[in-house]
Amino acid sequence: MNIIYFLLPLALLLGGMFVAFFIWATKSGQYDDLETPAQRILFDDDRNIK
Amino acid sequence: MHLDSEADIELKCDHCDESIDKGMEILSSEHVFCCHGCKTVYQILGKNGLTDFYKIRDDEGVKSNPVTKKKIDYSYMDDDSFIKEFTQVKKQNKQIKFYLEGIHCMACLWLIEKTPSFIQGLISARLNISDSTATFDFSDELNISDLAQDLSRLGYIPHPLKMNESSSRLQKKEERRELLRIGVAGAAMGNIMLYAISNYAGADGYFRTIFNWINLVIAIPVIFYSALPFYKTSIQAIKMRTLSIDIPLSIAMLGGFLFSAFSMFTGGEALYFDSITALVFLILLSRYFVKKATQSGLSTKGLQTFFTNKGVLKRDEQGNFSSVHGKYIQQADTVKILTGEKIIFDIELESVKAVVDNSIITGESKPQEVTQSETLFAGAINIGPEIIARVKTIGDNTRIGKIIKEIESSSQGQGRTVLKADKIAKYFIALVLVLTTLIFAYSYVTYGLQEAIARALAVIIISCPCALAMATPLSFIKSLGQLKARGVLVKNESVLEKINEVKHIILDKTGTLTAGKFEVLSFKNDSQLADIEIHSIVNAIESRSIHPIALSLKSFLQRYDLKTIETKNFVTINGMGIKSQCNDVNYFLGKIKISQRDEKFHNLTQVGLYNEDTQELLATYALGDKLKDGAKENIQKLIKKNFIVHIASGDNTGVVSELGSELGIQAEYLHAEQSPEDKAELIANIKAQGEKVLMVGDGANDALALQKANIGIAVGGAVDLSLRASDIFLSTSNISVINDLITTAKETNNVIVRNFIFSISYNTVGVLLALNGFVSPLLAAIFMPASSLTVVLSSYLGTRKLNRCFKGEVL
Amino acid sequence: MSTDSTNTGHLEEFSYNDRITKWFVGATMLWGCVALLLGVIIAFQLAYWKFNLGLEWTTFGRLRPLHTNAAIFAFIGNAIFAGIYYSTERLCKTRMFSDTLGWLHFWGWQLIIVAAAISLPLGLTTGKEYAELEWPIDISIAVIWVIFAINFFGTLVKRREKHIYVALWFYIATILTVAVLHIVNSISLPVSLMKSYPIYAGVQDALVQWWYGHNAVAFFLTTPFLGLMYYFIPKAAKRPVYSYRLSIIHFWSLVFIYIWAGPHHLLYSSVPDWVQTVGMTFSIILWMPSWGGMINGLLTLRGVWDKVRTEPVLKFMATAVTFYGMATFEGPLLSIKSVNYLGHFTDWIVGHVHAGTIGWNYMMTAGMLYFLVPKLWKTHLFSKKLANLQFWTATIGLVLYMMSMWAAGITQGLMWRAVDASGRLVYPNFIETVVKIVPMYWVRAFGGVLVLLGFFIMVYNLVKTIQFANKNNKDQAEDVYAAPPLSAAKEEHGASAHRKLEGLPMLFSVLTLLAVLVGGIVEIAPSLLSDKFVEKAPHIKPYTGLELAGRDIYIKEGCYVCHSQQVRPTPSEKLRYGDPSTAAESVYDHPFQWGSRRIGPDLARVGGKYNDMWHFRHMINPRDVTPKSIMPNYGWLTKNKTNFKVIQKKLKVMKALGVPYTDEQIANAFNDAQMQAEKITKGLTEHGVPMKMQSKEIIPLIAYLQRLGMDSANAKKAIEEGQE
Repeated sequence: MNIIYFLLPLALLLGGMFVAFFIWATKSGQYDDLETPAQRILFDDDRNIK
Repeated sequence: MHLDSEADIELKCDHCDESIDKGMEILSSEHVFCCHGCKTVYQILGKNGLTDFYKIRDDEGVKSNPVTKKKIDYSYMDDDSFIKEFTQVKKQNKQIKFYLEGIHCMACLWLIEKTPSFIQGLISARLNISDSTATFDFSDELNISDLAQDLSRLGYIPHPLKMNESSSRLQKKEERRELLRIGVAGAAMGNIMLYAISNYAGADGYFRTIFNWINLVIAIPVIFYSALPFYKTSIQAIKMRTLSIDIPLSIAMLGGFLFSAFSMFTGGEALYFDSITALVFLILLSRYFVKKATQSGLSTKGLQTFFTNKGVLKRDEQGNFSSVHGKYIQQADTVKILTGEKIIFDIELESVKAVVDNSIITGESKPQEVTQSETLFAGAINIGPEIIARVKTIGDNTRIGKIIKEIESSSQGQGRTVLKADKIAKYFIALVLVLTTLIFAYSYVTYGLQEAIARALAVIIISCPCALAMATPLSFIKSLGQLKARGVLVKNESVLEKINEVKHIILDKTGTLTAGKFEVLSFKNDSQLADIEIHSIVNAIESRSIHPIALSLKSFLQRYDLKTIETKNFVTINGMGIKSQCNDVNYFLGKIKISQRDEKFHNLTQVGLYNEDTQELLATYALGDKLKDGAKENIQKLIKKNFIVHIASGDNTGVVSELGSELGIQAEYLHAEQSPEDKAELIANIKAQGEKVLMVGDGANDALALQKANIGIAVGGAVDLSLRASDIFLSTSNISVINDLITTAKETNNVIVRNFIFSISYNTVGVLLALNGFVSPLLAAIFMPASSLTVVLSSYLGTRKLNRCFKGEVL
Repeated sequence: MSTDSTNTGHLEEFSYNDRITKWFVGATMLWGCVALLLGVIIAFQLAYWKFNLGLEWTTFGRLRPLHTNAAIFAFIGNAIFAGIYYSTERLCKTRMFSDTLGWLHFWGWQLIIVAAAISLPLGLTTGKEYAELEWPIDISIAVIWVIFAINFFGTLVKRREKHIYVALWFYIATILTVAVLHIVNSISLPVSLMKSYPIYAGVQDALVQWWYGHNAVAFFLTTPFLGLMYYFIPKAAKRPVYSYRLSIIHFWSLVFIYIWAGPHHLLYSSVPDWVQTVGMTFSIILWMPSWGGMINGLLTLRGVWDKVRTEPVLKFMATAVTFYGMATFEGPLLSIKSVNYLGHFTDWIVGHVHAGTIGWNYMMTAGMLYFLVPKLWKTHLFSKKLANLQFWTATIGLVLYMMSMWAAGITQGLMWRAVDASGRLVYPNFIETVVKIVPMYWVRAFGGVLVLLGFFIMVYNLVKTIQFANKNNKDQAEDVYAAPPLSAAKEEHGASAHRKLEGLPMLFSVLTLLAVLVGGIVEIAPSLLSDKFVEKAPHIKPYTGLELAGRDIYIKEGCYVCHSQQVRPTPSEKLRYGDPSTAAESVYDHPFQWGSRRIGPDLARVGGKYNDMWHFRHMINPRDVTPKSIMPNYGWLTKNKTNFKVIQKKLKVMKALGVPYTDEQIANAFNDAQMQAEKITKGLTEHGVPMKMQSKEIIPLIAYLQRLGMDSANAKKAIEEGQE
């Protein structure tokens, strides 16, 4: 059952990496405004070409 | 152009969907608009190919806000000190942040963020819908006043926000740190639970020790980073020698962690990493939700904008006037105030005479004449010609400023029940600490250290009275928030409590039951001249007079694009009207002959425009002060709830008795020709009989009576002055809100009682179970926040009746 | 207000690269047809064995892995890439990081699919479910995936919209985790160009395989589709997502603990108990984030439900999200131990799998294509009626599929475990249970036909739409958009420094991930191989050379697709198969062949149960020994020659993987194998089998089958004799 010695650090690594992502996202202000992005995507592809 | 007056088709303005009464619409090509503002916006959008605005808005099913016509002067935004303070330089571009009024739907977001494509020099626009602030980046080609001008013409009035306004940036940083703490605690709890379950499920030998060590390592950031706020508050509480909820919590967390680490080293089995991390995570989460609920409830942005930071004309050394931001005016500066501008300082008049509308201070909307070197207080509106004056006091130490400061401080006051709840919580905490030490000693003796720690931890976690402390303020916050959203500004919670004890309700007539000011209700044009012609003539005739009818006529005509007409030889016939000559035709504007009165509006005053030479009636305006709609039905509801309803008014007995009979109130409760002093005396002797009185009156002139009543509700008048005299301010003129207020007060009380019963019983049962070991620390860690979440939920859900009331049903 | 609508000179102009998305859409349609057609074929093969056509390359054993790989990686893979490229460019308001990488990714992926389509029917498979592709293809998958990752993260760093929308977070999670899963599960030592043995064995291989198996489903079939849901449903319904805050919570809760649900595929197997319980608990916990996603998706449609009735795009997506909710409720239910005891190895699992794949992925892809094709080719859909027709055929087909599989699964599960009062099996003969559910296979096959027909209707509909577009609007030039550069939109001061810093963590984390992975493998792998760690039982010996060759034929023919090799510790299985399998018994199995389905009986202890001649006749014509068997004929086993020379190389590789072969065993591997083959064939000649059969593949297969479970049986016999 010693595969755990490999899977375990891997799972911790993956979890840790996503915690790092979470910290970076919160610090860089991704979650300051949680209302506007949901509506902003609705306008992203209308064309205002010349 | 003669309109067929009978076909009463419902006209809707193409821009803001406001319904337009017949005869007042503006036509341009095949579109109909309610005012000029909407027409200009429609044209601007059309020219820049942005007509999708209307498609998106219709999808959203929302109305865009009507556009104010009057031009706001933003030139003060170009002056250097303003730019230095309100903008930030980012590489070679500048960035400014505005609070925009009137943001409410996707179409606004779409329009604001599309502005860079048609405003020259604007680089990027980014809107945040939740707090309706927008950030604009622009190059030097565009000066701020033009940007502000464009925004206001699109219907969004901008208010500049200081870029690094410490409060908002600090709040954002604080918010992020909180989210981080919750995120870390959540991730750690999830993973620790994973390894804890493995051990519970029977992992043994080498794996078991690895998993325990991993749990220890993962728990460290939770206990020493996520749980910091608990330690800080408990240290503060200890410094001030009071008991706070966080003290038992911190003991549970730190104690649990240290003991588990200790038993790890000594090979013991009592490990509680999973329960303490769950505890930290769940409490942080419930506190986050409570903060979110309170935040939306209490934002008092309304009061701050009284001192609208706008431009003022200041005289510099050479004597000419330049526009400077209100904030930079010091004492003893001389300023010029144009007609129609609000005075935002206490000033001493320099010019000979001034005509001012002082309704904010005195309550009467009758214009007031002021002579040289008299003082004028902030809040007055200059309706006469432009005046020059010297500034005496500014900002907070003006008369109004002091009042506002006092109001804002008083609204933080704690209600009686909230104080009661805190006191109970304090005793409860003392009891818990005693119990924990007792149970620890007892089980240490009988069962040994392991069991003692388990029991103590379980007791201390499950018995924390968070539910109790959170219950009362939360239910208030929700109700106050809802009332505020409907335009009812309640000073503080204790007011809501006192309403339940009221028996007598005294209502003032002018301003409360009736609209209180003359308004043009309908316009009929029987002549060959175009409407615009008629309006321009009437406006020219009335331009100089300050008679109330003239003022209401002018405020009504103001929304048209009037032509200037020069008029000669004015003759005012007092009591009848004004004669004058415009482009060599003689006109008379005044009372209509009895025979020509329009039967439909018999109880309203009617003003007609005659062609003096041919005695022909060209057009008629009907004006009046009608009873507010819904007044009768609301009064009946109050009587059905067996309140004793009085009417006290300064008007003559005839009007009052006619009103009383219409509303169904017995004669003995009708009091006519009451001066403010008489009203105050009436209240005094009702109170003398030991009954509680609620007075609803005009915020300004009934100030004396409102102060005397147990609960004073001010309708209309100036928000700041009336709140000083009374406990509640109604910004909407809708009467049914009084009924809502009473139902809300009763229902909120029920919610509080319900929360009380729940939290008390939960805590007692929890502690009893924990005492004799039925509850493990892990279960306790899950139960405790569950109880506070249920309380949060119960306050949030309120009662069925409360919700029906909040949905606008008048009970 | 300046009124000229031309660009005011400050906005950066760019256009999206929709050509690659168009090609991916085309590939999705093509491989969709192939994958679904294969599905229908193998469904009929189960219902009536003659459909195997008696050819080596068309039997169920080889086509089923092709169907799973084609459906997951070709059909759904291309659909994901189309959706991700389309939505990422628009969410970041920038063109793809590099077009060449995009094309490399596209053509590389199609090449991999073609390679799989060739190698799998030829039997070149590793024998690990959903990871059957041999090592050269595995490596190219990893390379193409890294190219895709660079292209995606490059676009993210180059974005003009500060906020990273939740869909992008789901794509990030997909790319990073699938990379880890694929690399870890495919670590193997090659024997020849198209043959390799994984470094894990037995229980360890089972855990790694199903950790990969479940998370391939999770991070390849769910998180990218949740990302597509969060982008395409708001776009199609023109409404913002119901609660953006809930979607953020949904993502982070999913990502932090998703990775541990693997063991629920191994309940009641010889994996340690606590691992099974952990797997069960976390699978049940996963029910909450999944339903959080479903609720968020469905509530986004509030207010537009009337459009769901008329718009095919919304109709498909709403149904897809509902099936997602159903499948992610059935999953946790199935992972409860007692329920799993009934469901495991039966067709109920197949019902659950296809509720997810057809219900969620197929429907969501159809909805997405109906949304994408009109938008990409700037035209309107050819016919809404056809789209509705596809909807109903696919839905009815799927419902038939699920119902029949549930019925078959529960019937078989109950019949296996039925024990009468006297303690004897009510259905001792396995074939009785198979015969009972063959009608269900017909219903399922018919359901599959409907789903396939639906897909053809859609392809026809979309192709007509594209033709109509190509004929009419000529201006296929890319639209030009304008958006403010990101740097200007930075609110924090000192933006430029932050900008560089912000771009860094993306690349930084991807690189560290890869570095750590490689480092991890190099450092941990050897420790795995050393004998010290692997528990052993003295009586278990490695396979002989010939048996090993037989095992590879077992894998080549895909026998694990119908037969399992894992006896569960339950009374009925003890009566039917014997003692429950222990971890030590499969300690030398590189790869483990426990299998996940029991269309045929369990083979863990089949050794010695029947004589060699029985096996010989059974392989050539199964109906000869068990009358109503649905197993195809394996006539070619008596024609194809066994490659004796490679056996020595195989033993060397096994030794390198830690299997204790002695040196002289390796030295005369060739002769030992020849001798053993000769002995077996001599035994068969009494029954009229010619001696030249000795060199044919049937012999090593018989040797392997007869060895299964023998070590434990002999050890048990030895102990009994010892007691007397």
